[in-house]
Amino acid sequence: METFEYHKPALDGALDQFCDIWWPCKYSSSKGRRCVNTREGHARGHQDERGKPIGAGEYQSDFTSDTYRHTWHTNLRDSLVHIQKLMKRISAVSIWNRQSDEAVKAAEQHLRTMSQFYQNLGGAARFQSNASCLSCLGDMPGHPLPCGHVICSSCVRMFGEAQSQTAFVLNWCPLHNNERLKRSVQISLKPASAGVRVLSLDGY
Amino acid sequence: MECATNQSVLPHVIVVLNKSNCSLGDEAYDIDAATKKLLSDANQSLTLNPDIDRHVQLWRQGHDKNIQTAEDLLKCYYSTFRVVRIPEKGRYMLIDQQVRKLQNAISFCCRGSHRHKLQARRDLKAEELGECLQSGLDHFTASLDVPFDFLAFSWSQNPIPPGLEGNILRLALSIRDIRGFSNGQDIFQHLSQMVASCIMLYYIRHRIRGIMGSCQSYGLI
Repeated sequence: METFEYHKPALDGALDQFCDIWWPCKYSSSKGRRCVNTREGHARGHQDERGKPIGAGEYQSDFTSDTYRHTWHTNLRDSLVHIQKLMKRISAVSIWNRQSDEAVKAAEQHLRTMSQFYQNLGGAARFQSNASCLSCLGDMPGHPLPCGHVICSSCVRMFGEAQSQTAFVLNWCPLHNNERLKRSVQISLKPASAGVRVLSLDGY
Repeated sequence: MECATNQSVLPHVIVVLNKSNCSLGDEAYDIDAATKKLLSDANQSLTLNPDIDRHVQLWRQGHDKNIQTAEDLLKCYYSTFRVVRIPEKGRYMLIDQQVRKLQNAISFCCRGSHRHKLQARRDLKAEELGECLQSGLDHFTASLDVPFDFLAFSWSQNPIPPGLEGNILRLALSIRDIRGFSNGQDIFQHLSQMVASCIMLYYIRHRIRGIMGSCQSYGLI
């Protein structure tokens, strides 16, 4: 599947890094204290969060990238197929003056998926990031919303109401789109054809 | 030992016994022999010294380590342990020889440490070493009770890069921290549908050909 193959290095990279660098050891002492050391930081054996040694031995984990990779790939492929089927069923009712049926369908389906995803995890309000657009996991976020979430320009274009080619209004945050924002947000995006503007204040 | 967690490499120790008696035999100035002798002499302190005995019991009780000798105990804390004697004045040729041995021992330990850090992806560049020392100073001047987390420092220097890979990783870490999942499979199970939807969004936005063609060839549309 071309879609999946194109992104496979990034998908595998995320799984590898999570397992190798960030996932702590599963060891637990007889007194119930958990080891906090990860695979690459296990030189001193098992240590609890206070740094106290609770056991000697190598890193232990049931969750490794090698054992889980096949399941990860299968789940992603199955999800992609499922989304494509759902998109076929959506009638292209353009709520936001969208450019294409395809984009409208993708936006509507993605909102449903996101809503369910964050609801299953206790609500989108618990997740905040200035480094990732939590709406699309793609571009760098640059547009803060009153709810605290920061989204990227692509998400502004896709989920905002277009006032012009570069001006958009957002009445709700894509992450919890079932409730309106306390106040609408007007966002102006730099036109794609606009070059870098430099203001020189060097006295010349 | 309680001062740090997520340490990827154990430090090396070289003990320099300066102003050693010149009348000691040549064997005393051989590194391996001197190390063996010192460790052998220290074996008694495992039981006679209460502070050392406390550490021995810590590893013995409920742990897998069987500490019988001083060397066993030192290996819990350090990668290698070596002893280099430097004679007192008078034997200048011997002083020169021992200083060279000390130099070689330091180089050997540095190379070994660097190699292990490279394997663990925790090697430091020159400017990062200064940051690491400063970070340690800042940490321990604030608290002596909280261990220094080498993983947190490593990622403050090399943050998770932008892009799909980094964003998936950040979201997975957020799920782990906010929901407290102890099972990695659950985290990635939750992620799969969201990530797939983001991939679909990416293609629609960037109009990469193939997805609709693939859907047609697979009979999906």
